[in-house]
Amino acid sequence: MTTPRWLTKALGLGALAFALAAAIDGLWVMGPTAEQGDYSRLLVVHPPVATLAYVGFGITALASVLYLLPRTRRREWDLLAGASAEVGVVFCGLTLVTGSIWGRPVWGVWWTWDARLTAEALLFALFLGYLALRRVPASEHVRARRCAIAALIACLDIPIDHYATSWWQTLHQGSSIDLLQPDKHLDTAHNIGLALGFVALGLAFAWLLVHRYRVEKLEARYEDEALSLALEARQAEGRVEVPV
Amino acid sequence: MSYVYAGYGVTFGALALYALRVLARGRALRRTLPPDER
Amino acid sequence: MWRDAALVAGKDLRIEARSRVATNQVAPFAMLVLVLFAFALDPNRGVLKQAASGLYWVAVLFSALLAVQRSAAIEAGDRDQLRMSGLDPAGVFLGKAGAVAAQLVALEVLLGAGVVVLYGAHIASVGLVVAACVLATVGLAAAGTLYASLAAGLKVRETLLPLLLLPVAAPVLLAATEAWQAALGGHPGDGTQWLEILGAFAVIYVAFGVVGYGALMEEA
Repeated sequence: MTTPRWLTKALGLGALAFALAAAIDGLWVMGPTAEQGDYSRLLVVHPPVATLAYVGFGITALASVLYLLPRTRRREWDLLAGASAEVGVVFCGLTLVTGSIWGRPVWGVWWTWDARLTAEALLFALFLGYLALRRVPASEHVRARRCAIAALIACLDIPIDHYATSWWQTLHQGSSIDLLQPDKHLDTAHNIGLALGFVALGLAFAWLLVHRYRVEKLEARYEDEALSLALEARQAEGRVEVPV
Repeated sequence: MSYVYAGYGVTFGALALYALRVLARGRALRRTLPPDER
Repeated sequence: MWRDAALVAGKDLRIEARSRVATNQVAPFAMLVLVLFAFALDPNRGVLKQAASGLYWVAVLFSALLAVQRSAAIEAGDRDQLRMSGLDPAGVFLGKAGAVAAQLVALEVLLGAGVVVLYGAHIASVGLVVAACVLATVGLAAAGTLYASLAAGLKVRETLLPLLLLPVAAPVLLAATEAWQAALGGHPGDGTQWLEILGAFAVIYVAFGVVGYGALMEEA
């Protein structure tokens, strides 16, 4: 399960190129909208990171299932789950921050209990719990299994979160301005910006996932070998080179 | 517009920083493993 | 499975009867939380009465954490014992969750009385209140028992379990509060949709527990 080097390089360069394109488009080429003025430019960053946070979690959940099923059980799935969770939590955090930044000028407040933001905040908390569980020392298989189950339980929670928070919102909010609502009918320029954002951030996500997965693999190998490496180091210290 | 710049800045900046961190972690780990395992 | 469940539940409840942790520690803690809320909020302006529903459920949630921690701690001595006893894991799950649920129900009744007396809450629709409590309890007990098992045997269990359980329990808090809000406010019709969420949560987590608890118990 190794991604060929040329592919990762392509992902990385692609991400950078599209990020540049997206930024240029979003900040200069794209015009302001009637409803939100300049702030709709945040379309290019906020929806993509929000979606990618869910993608991250989805990959974690899927990899967890594959690990739990005896027929497909491989350590690689556990490593992928962990890597995807960490990349996902970064995107989740960005969702909350960009959502807050977007909300401040539009709604006047830094935070509002908008259904989507609240659900995203809960997702963030779920991610953090999972990552905390990953760091707890335990034998490889025990930890992997625990984490896999935790990921699935958390996954079950997500649709419930969504129903609960959206019903909660319609109950309490008189007229909440959905950040994206005024932009339901986007013109081409904004659609292009949105698409560029998705591509740029999507490629970035993929590139980060590949590298983070590699780090996870290295860490696993390090854990496996830690004892023998330490012993070797000690023994090497004892060996004295005698000049001939 | 400052909010917009902040939004873009935070997003791309945070991702760049995270990328550097992941790469650095990888490099450090590879150094500790015996050469044949790299 | 049911026989094993009854066995495990009986064991847990008997341990509770002997050690009286729930009655001597968790219950006073729960009431203390209610009192602390009164200190934190203005007791004179009816804020407590308005917020009664939410404060009640936060207190229940904290108590549930303690009850679940305790349930896990009982097994802490040797987890192998349960595994090697040959009991059906699904039964063990239902038994432990059932014991937690029973204790929670007792705590909820106590807290309910506390909220009525201390906050001046008025329960207009008892049926809705009971239904919400039952469904929420089942869900919390099931999810709690699952997570307690996940965190079991780990030295950081006490700090890890709340971090794991509370975000998952958040929709229960939300829905139960809304249901109670409807009940306290005298318009029970609004409460039914929240009962759906509570019910869904309970069903999902009980099902998951029955199916997955065996996998959790299997480990070394």
